[in-house]
Order: sequence, then structure tokens, then C-alpha cells
Amino acid sequence: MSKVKKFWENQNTFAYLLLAPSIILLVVLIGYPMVYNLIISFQDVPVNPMMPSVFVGISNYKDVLADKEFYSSVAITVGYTFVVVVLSTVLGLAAACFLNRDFKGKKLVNALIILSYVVPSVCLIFCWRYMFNNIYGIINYFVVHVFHLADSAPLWFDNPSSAFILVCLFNIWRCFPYAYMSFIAIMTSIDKSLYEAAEIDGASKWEKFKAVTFPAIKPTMVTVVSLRMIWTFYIYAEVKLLTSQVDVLGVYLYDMAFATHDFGKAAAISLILFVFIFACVMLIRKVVLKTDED
Amino acid sequence: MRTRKQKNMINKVLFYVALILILIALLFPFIMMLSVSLKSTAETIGFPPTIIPRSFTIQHYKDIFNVQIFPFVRYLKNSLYIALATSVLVVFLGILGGYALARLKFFGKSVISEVFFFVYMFSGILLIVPLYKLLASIGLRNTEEAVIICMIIQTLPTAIYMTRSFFETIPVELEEAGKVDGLSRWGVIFRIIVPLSISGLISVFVYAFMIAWNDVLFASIFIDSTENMTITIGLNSLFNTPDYIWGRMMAASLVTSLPIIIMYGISQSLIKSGRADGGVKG
Amino acid sequence: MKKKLVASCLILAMSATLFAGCGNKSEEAGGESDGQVTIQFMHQQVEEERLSVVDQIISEFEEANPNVKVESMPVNEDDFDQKITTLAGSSELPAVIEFSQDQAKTSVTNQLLDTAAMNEVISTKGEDAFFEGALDVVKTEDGADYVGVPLCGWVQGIWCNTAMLESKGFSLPESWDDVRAIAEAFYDPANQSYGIALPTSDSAFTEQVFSQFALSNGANVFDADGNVTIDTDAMKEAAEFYKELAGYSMPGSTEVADVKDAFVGQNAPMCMYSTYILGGCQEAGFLEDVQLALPTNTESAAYGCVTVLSISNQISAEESEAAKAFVSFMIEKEHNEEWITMAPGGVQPVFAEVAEDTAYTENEAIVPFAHLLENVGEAFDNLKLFGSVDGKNFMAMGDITNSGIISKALNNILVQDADIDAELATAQTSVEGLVK
Repeated sequence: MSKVKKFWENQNTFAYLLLAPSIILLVVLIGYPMVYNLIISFQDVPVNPMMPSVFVGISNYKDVLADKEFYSSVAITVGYTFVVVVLSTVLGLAAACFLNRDFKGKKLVNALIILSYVVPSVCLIFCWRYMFNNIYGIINYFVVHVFHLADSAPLWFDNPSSAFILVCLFNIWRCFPYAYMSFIAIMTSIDKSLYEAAEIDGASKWEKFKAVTFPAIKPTMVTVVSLRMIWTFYIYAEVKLLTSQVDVLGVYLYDMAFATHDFGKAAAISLILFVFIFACVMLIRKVVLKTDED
Repeated sequence: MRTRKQKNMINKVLFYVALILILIALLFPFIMMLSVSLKSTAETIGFPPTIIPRSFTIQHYKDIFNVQIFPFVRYLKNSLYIALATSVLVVFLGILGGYALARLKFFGKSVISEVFFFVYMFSGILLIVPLYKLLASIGLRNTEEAVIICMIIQTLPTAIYMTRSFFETIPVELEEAGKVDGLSRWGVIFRIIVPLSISGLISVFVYAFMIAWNDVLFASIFIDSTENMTITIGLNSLFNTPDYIWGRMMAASLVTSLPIIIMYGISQSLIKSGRADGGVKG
Repeated sequence: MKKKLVASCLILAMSATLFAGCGNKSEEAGGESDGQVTIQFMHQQVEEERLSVVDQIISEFEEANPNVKVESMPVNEDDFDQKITTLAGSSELPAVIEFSQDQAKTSVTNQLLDTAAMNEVISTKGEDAFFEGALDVVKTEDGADYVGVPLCGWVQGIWCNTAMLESKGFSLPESWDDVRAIAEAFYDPANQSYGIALPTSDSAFTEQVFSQFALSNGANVFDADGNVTIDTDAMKEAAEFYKELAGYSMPGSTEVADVKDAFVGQNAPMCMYSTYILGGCQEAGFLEDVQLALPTNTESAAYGCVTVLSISNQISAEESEAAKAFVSFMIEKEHNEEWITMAPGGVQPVFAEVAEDTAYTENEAIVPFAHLLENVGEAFDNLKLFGSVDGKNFMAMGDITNSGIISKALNNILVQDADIDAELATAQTSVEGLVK
């Protein structure tokens, strides 16, 4: 074989050929911004690029790590992420199990379930605002006038606890269809004969689930959970537009970048967060979900 | 003693009742949206609130399709273009990348696969300013292509992760068989692997499509002129104006979701028909 | 097989062509070619009906200036700041920007605007052509330059449904006490009736409305020497009064939609909103009953906003000339009227020649609002703003509003029952830190 042919036959080359476009795209379009952010995290950057950036060393990092609000924001975000990820996954799984059978109107039901995932956030948020209004909102109408659960419309989005719950609820409602779709896709491909075999062995519904369903969906579950976790961690619009009482990191970060225009500090925050999530995901993968090593 | 048939019937009824209750709970906001879109403003902000409108009006729907108020077709076209281009390219690159990571051993494999995953953990907000600089400097300012590129990099790492998991579930023997039959490596990919993972690829397609379709951040930054605006930008301008009209907002929301529902329905049928009936049984 | 390889390459090539083919839509951000200059005009008129008016004005301009092309760049109000920041950071700011004087102040602080060009446009038109109040609030801190060329404005005050007021024997309120009395009389939440509709959410709107009460009590963010004066007795009194009033308004964090719906739905006889509420009142059929009142305690304060056209400094010399021509065009009587009638009643003129022009006042779109014009015009002359003290405009006010320090403090006070002294003190320190 000639040297050239050997080069092209080489697994390495083929692999890189396949990956080249993706690597190039990602290196250039994410690598460059990451490096850029790394650099400006050590600077005080003005909005106008013509004005000079001042090198400030690690003072951005120091400021962030000394800010109480940052830590409370992290705490809230972790709590929020945990609740939303766990519940949306569980809900998606439950829905997938419940609907994993043939029934009339299945296609329609599937299409309707994903509505909350498919409609742009701004529509859903305004719809919720409409429903929770004190004068004409239907929720308050039911609570106050029909079921007499309260004397006057409660402060849904201003009480930090109820705001937190509602924001979680909103995002679980919004995100669970993704889990549902992923699980349904896998579950429809599970061999029915496996269930029959388990039935013959006298397994209960729960045991059937543990023995047949769960192992099959585990890889999907890992994917769903990891991805949902990362997306939820950085969430901004779906929280900020509903309430000002839930200060998640996405809001904290956005305000830093666009409200106070302190890009250097925003960059420092995002790098700190990056390290944080990195650690969390590694932890989850190795310890909690006990994923196999590739 | 209940017969088996009666038991089945009861189970069925219970199932449907539960299903309907669940659907009502999940879809209540949408029921409200539909209701508001058919009401006059006076009834919308009046008390007591009604679910079924006292007097119906389709004026809001007429307004939505009035090009003077909401150029629906134009927005739809742009959003579709961006979302389709993104998903097609992402699926394609995902196939390539996922195969490489699933099957091939090569130098730097673990590094690259981890990097792909972790590069994702960087908040989109911080990417905007440097990305804009970069893309504007190569002349992609005010283009839908800039948005497509941003959408691709947002979804590619996940896509590759997904395709990789799907590909790993395909038995290697199939590929061996293909090679024995004289297929080249590309042939193996596109003739054996791809057909077997159609349902997985469709999930990737739907995922990328959704992200691109719903994006408002990148679209609003990278797009300047009205010909290129997407549905999400259009919706935003309906919602965030001091002259808002509830009925119009809700009608627009519902109407703009229809294309996606239809697309999802189509993808479901494709999955059903394309499902592999097993390859290595027996 | 070779075939597959070729097929894959073809697909890639096709995709590339697709890109290139559609890439023709991409345009250089402004530029010159063969004597043709292209500039961009970034504005906040996103509604489709208004876009056609903007396009109309642009084509009239292009007809009169055949070597200039203007690209319309509508941006949603909420995304505006984000977009300006991103564009500025890449040195891609559009040539002409339409925004509020506050936003212009921030841009001046960031040295993004070409004040010389704007001064030229104003002096060419002649300073007397503008309402004095409007021109005063767009001067820079040293009074030497302008942050933008005033285009139009809107006025804020207490909108009153006089029919509702009369039903309980009240007339238009003039003092804080009057306002309080009316609010008390109408407060009946069990029957969806509120005394006044006020914003209390953590938003710029809340800060704007509060500022009117503060200013009517002589309280401002700065004093004439530039000291931060948030933690003062006058400000505290205003906050206490606002909190009292908020008690008669809808509970919880209320914002734009809540205030508008309450007033238009006739659940409240008074509300604080910009002139944009008039459209809703017209639709609901009680426009004739609507009047504007300005709250007075120690002073009479009208709050308003002047919309300016600013010229950026990230453009070439030719683009700058084109920009100046465009801005001058926009402040010519006929074209200004075209712009203003886009939002009849919602937007007010800043030029005497427009306000007095019968073509404008008798325009059928404006006629329903005629009974308001007098009050509104007066309001403009008494314009008071946070950050403008004795004719001096502190540029830092733009950053202060942007940072949300004051609105956050207000939300805490009004909705979270926080201690007023503590909140004002915190806000004072934060603002001092910001202003450095």
C-alpha cells in the first residue's frame, strides 16, 4: 500500500474527516468566545471598544466571590434546577409509562402534550400573567370567588416562596414534554416479548418496570437529566419575566452584562459557573448514575 | 364476579377519564388562550372572567393574517428556513461526528468527546458579543445564516451526544456484515447505520428544530431588517408594546404553534414507518 | 464506494451554495459605493402599522436625496439596550438611533455619539424652533452639547376618568391630598374597584412614575452640585406617600399591563401611565372623559420623556453627512407630523410650529384628543426629570436607571414591606458606588 493510501485508510484520518466540520465550527465559534471571556474576566471592559480596557487582575473574581448575592443566587439556582430536573424527568417518565399503549386519539394526545414545549416562552408567560391577574385572572376567580380559599387574591409572584414554587411549576410544565418524547421514543422500541416473559414469571407492574423498562431507558435518562440540568441552570427569561423574587444565576448574569454593563465581571461569573457545573456533572455521572466508562 | 371483559372495560374507562383530566390540567392555559383569542377586549379584562366567551369574535384572527398588522407568512418563512437549515445540518454533522465517536478509535478521542460535551456548559449570553464581532466581521451581519450558525453551535454538542448513544446501540456485527459485502466506510454509515437509527435521528432533528424555532435572543441581535425577521421576534413586538391587545397576542400564539405541531405529527408518522424491525434477531 | 464519497461531497457543495446564494441578503453595515451612501436607522416602532409609516418617510427622504439609502432597523423596546450594547461592542452602531433621552445619556457616557453632528443639526434648525423644556433636558452635563435631536415626546401624569370622579362628587385632583382622598373613596377590592392604578414592579416604569411624585415634592436623585440625594427627607416623604397610594392600588407587583387594563377596564378612576393609554380609552369608548392631572405637593411636576434622534460616532464621514441630512429631514414640519400621527395622542410634538399647525391639530386622528392638547402642551414646558437639576442634566442618570437600583428599592418598599429608611440608604450607597 502506498503511503498516501495508508493515510486515507487510517482510522485516525477518517475519524478526523468526519469530525472536522464540527470541530472547526465549535472551536472557532465557541472557543474564540470562551477565550475572549477568559481574557476580559481579568479586565474592566467598557461598552465602547474604542475606550481602553483596564487590566484589573483577579479583582472581578474577588468581587464576585465576595458577593453574598452571588452565593444566594447559586443556592436558589441549585435548588431550582434540582426540583425542575427531577420532577420534569419523573413526570415525563410517568406520562410515557401511562401512555405507552394503543388507544384512540393517541396521535392527537401526543401532539397536545408537547404544546407547552413547543410554544415560545413569551406566549406562555403572558398567558400565565393573564391568568393570575387580580382583577380578571381566572385563577384568582376560582381561589377567591368560587372556592373561597382566600379573602383576596394572594401575592402569587411576590411572595418568595410561592414565586419559587410557581416558577418551578412553570418550568416543569414547560420542560417535561422533552423528557416525555425521549422516553416514549425508547419505550416504543422495547421488545414486547420481554414484558410477556416477565409476566409469565409472575412479575408485578413495578417489577416489570424495574426489570425491563428501566434498564432500557437508563441511557436516555442520563442524557435527559444531564442536558436538562445544564439548560435549567442558565435559565433567564422564564424566571425574570414572571417574578423578581427568584434570583437565579441566569438573571444575575444577564443583569451584570446588560444592566450594569460590567462585562468583565459577567465573564468572571460565567467562568466560575463553568467550573462549578463541570464539577457537578462529573459528580452526577460518576457517582449518582454510575455510568459506565466509555 | 367481574368477567375479564368487564374488567378490561372498566380499566379502559378509567384510563380515558384519567387521560382527560390530565389533559385538562396540562392544557388549561391553552384553553384560556383560545378563549381570549375569541373574546373582545372588554370581556377579556372584565369581571367575572369567562372560559367560554359570552360573545365570539374572530376579529383577532383576521388581524393576525392581516399583513399590515402581522406579516405571518413572512415570519413563518424565515423561521422555517432557519429551523430547517439548522436541523438538516445538525443531523448531518451529528451523523458524522456521532459515528466517529461511537465506532472509531483514534488519537484524542476521549478528549474531543468530553470537550464537545463541556463546551456546552457555557452560558449563551456571554457568547453574544464576541460571536457578533466575529460573524459581523465576515460579513454576516443581518443575515439569517448568522442565526443558523449560532443555532448549530448551540445544538451540535447535544446532537452528537445523542447520535453517539443511538449508534452505540447498533450491533457491530451489522457493520462487519456490510464491510464483508463490499461497502466502503461511507457506505456503512449511510446504508446501514443511518437507516437503523432513523427514529433517533428524527429526535435529533426535532430537538434542533425546536431550539432554532424558539430562539429569540440570537435572532433579535443578528437580524436587523424586517424582511429577515422570525416569528419569535414578531411575537415579541406584539407582546411588548404599550398598545398591546390580549386577543391578538393569544391568537398569534396559537396560530404560530400550528406549524410545529404539524411537523411533529409528521415526524411521529415517519418514526413509526421507519422503525427497524430488528436486525440481528435469531 | 467512490459513489458515496462523491454523493457526500455533492451534498456539502450544495449546502455551501445554499449558503452563498442566500448570503446575498447580507448587507454591509452602511457603506459607500459609486457615490451611494447607505445608513441605518434604528428605531423602536416595531408595530407593523407603524413600520409602513416609517418606510413611507424613508422613501420620501430617499427621493429627495437620491444618493442616500436608509435601512430601517426596528428593535423591540425590551431588546433595545441589549442590541445597542452588542452593536457598540463590535463598532457596528447604526448611524441614526431613535431612543429616549435617558438612553441617549448612557450612550454619551460611553462615548458612542457624535455630539458635534447633533449640535449642527439643532443650530441649523434654530434652537427657538424647539419647546424650551424639551431642549433643556437633552443637553449634556456641561450644557455645551446635545445628547440627541428632539423628535417628539410623551408626557406622564395622572390620567383621570372624570365621569367616574364626578359620580362620587370629585373634580380633577390638584394636590397630594386630593389624590389621596379620591383613592380612598374608590378603594373597594371586593368589587374589583381600586382607588388608583399604579406600577409597583421592579421596572423602569415604576421608577418613572415614582419620580413624578418625588419631583413634585422637590426630591431628585442629585442636587445641583452633583451629590447623590436619595436618602433625604423629601425623598422619604415621597416614598411614604407612594406606598400609601399603592395601598389603594392593585396588590402585588403591578406593571404596564396591570395598570392599563385596570384603567381601561374602568376598575380605577385614576392611573399613572404615558399618553399611550389614550388609544385603549378610545377603544373602550370613554375618551371624552379622560383628563390629565399633574400632582403637586411643593412643586408641580410633569414627567415626560423626550424621544431623540442621535448620530453615532462609529460611522464614516460620508455616512455622517447622510445621517445629518436624514435627521434634519425628520424634524421638518411635514415629516415630523407624519411621525407623530403614527401614535395619535400617544406622542406629542416638541416643535411649536407643529403644535400650532392646523394641519396637525385638525387631523382626524388627532381631533379626539384635542381636549387634552392644552394640558399636555403645558406639561412639556414644566418637564422635570430625575437627574436633571436646575437645568443641569447628569449623564450618570442613564446608567442609574439602567442598573435598576432605584426600582428594586421601590419594589422592596412597596410590595415586600421593606423598611423605607433602610432601602433608601442602600440605594444611596449603591448609586454613589455606581457614579464613583
